[in-house]
Amino acid sequence: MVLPGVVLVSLVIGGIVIMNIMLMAVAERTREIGLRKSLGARRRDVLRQFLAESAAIATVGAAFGVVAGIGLTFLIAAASPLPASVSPVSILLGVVMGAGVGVVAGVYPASRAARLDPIAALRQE
Amino acid sequence: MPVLEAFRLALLTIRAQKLKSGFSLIGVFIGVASLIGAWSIVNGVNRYMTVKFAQTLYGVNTFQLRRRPLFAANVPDSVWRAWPPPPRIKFGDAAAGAAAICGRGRMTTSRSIPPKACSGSGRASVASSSWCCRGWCWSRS
Repeated sequence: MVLPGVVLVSLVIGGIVIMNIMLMAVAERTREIGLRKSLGARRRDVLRQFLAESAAIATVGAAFGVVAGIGLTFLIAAASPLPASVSPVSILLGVVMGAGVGVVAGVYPASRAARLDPIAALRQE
Repeated sequence: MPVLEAFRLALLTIRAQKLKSGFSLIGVFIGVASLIGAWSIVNGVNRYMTVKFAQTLYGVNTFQLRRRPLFAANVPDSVWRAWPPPPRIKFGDAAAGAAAICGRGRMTTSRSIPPKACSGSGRASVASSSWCCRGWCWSRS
């Protein structure tokens, strides 16, 4: 019960951090969003851009996590009497969950960026 | 904007802001690493229990030298009496059994079985590296 709890808490914290970073990115890049929209970018394009960014951050994190997890497994198997072996299902689940956390955490900041009014965004200092 | 273009742009942004992106991916990194670590331990212990413990305990991986069959269901008394009396088995007979089974002395007696049980059934398995009973030792070479 403890280990799944640690996994869940880590993923939730990771999602919150990603959401926070993406909200900051939206606030920092308001003028860029306004410029893009005034040049013809649609809501969908802005939404896709920010969703792709948060998903990419989470996927890169998941990829590093997979490598670290495999290393951790070998370390446990070598340094302790616990027999540990990496399962392909766990790798797949880790990558899917990591990317999923990124997508879920990126939905709100991306929709906020997509709803920005280009005139108000360009006027902002 | 195509999806691939969006991802290219996203990767460029991540590269431009390495520190910020690095800190934001730490949470996912820890989550995925602990997920794989926990899964691997559970998977490994499960396999260990199946292969080593259960197979040794329940006989797939176990060799027993017995005087009489362990299971002799539906054998009437007359048939039982008609069978010739089996010879007594001594601990010295285990050496021949070990040579016949493995040839490299992999026949051992489980540590989990107390020495008293050894005197009764002469039970042998491949669970431990070495074990002695009544002055007769088996060891994994």
